Amino acid sequence: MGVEVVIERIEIKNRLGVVKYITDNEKYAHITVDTTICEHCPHYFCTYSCPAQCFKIMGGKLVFIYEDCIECGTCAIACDQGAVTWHNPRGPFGVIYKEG
Amino acid sequence: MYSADFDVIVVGGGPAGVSAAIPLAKSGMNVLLVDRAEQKGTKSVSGGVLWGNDLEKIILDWNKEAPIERKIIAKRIGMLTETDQFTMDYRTKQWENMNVGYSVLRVKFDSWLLKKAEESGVFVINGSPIEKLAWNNGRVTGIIESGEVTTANSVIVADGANSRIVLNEKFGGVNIKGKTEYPIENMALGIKEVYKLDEKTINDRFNITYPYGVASEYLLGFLKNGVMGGGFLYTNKESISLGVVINLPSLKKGKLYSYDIIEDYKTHPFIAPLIEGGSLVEYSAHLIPEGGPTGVPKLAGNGYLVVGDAASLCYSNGVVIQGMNYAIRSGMVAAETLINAKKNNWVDKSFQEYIYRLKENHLLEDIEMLSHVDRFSWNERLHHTYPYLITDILNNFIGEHGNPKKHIRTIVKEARKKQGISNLTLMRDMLSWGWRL
Ligand SMILES: Cc1cc2nc3c(=O)[nH]c(=O)nc-3n(C[C@H](O)[C@H](O)[C@H](O)COP(=O)(O)OP(=O)(O)OC[C@H]3O[C@@H](n4cnc5c(N)ncnc54)[C@H](O)[C@@H]3O)c2cc1C
Ligand code: SF4
Ligand code: SF4
Repeated sequence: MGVEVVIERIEIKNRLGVVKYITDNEKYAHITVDTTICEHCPHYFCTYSCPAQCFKIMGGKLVFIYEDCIECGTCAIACDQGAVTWHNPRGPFGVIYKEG
Repeated sequence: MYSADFDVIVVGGGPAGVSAAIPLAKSGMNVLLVDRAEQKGTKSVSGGVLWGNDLEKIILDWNKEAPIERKIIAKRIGMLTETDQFTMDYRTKQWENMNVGYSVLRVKFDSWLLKKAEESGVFVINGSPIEKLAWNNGRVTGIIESGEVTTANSVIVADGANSRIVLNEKFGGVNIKGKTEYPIENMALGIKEVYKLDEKTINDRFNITYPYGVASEYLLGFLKNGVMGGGFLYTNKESISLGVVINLPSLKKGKLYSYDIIEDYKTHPFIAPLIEGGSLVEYSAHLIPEGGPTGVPKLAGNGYLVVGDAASLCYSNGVVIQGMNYAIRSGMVAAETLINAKKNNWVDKSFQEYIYRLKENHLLEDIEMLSHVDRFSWNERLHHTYPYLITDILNNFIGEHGNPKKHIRTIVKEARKKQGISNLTLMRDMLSWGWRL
């Protein structure tokens, strides 16, 4: 079940690989980011704080991926520019923890 | 008088919500509990050591039946620098016969709690996220899901640290660029990993035998750029829960990646051997209220009460995290309040009694203490200077370096100078530390 033997750092991508999700249709993505606001962001704190690396700067632009979200709520408070709109995923969707 | 669908609707089935729902149902009330997780407990994250024995008042002999991982009989608190560790280890035979703390894994634990709630007569609905309450004439009259209202004489808000109800109903939070949100000063970010290891390896490594376990918490002095954080490590029956609690304002300034910090901790030379050979089975994250009194939202109003993490009734200072026990206690206090409110025909003012009852139970007092936390725990010096100061002193005092022996006073003085700490600052910090413990 486990992915790798520890002591080594595990890439965030591989850590997220052990997490189970049921992903909702993009139309119902629980978090939306108005990336036009991000163009003027003074800090990009979402990229540092999101524990699932859902916020990344690619080609000078902020890119948000909702599929890897583990629903911690940090991005909503990390963004003080009003770009993030946060909701809970609909009923059966989103992260499904096994341990907690 | 209109007739509501339920006496009470509880939103959120964590320790706070369940501890409110069970006594209410047992008192004969008609209780609905709704939780966003489709499968019970699968959205919950904690460290998690459940401290104390508060559950006993709700579920008799809970600790004989609940899916507990291990009973905590040893606690380690310490500091880590890149190369050094300084820890205080406390272990006692007495805790074997006491109910000091239990390590739990929340998916199993919460699903058991919810099963107990159902057995007590609580009507549990899963897979329903609730983000808004229904109002009529300045009074909460129920909950709204997909535009549909379910009515109740009272609602208990127990949806945890990231309570969207508290924000949407403006019970708490601040307005930032047109959105109501929690200030980053009031929340810490908790990130956790669970490593599977066999029972015997855990017993050997921690010098314990099942069903006993160890809880360890460290200040992470080695974090770069002034970022402040604590690390925890708890033994489960056949796994280890390890994680970090990160202070967000310092993360913003220091620009480290949160998901790297937990790996820095995990691969620390004194932590890695404890989980060596284990395999990663879970990665999770959750917010932790740590704002002290300034983070506490409006706790009660006409028709509603707010409990647990949603009410910011959580005690966290980066090293010590206690939330589940406060969640349980506030849930129980909410239940007492509503049992009385029903007797008084749900009059508006009976909801305010919740606040008096919280005070009576010392819950608000404990949170009040947190206002002093900024003075010390999330204090730059504690996190980044003292770990070096203390390990430097010990290294020189205990170690043999082939130099002439120095008096401990001289050693302390030299270490203090190296870290740029004045005598007065040291004294003040020691006093406030003593006061905190
Ligand atoms: C990494 C970490 C380590 C911790 N370590 C410890 C520890 O060792 N000891 C300790 O005592 N405390 C610890 N805490 C704190 C502790 O987990 C919380 O204080 C405690 O879980 C609060 O209980 P609660 O019932 O108020 O909220 P939660 O446990 O968060 O439960 C909230 C419930 O509400 C549901 N919910 C959420 N939103 C909605 C919605 N919109 N609609 C319907 N349902 C919803 C969720 O599914 C969940 O079941 C830790 C926290 C973290 C994150
Ligand atoms: S913090 Fe907000 S505005 Fe800045 S990049 Fe992130 S989402 Fe965009
Ligand atoms: S909720 Fe947490 S995991 Fe999800 S995108 Fe926001 S910060 Fe990342």
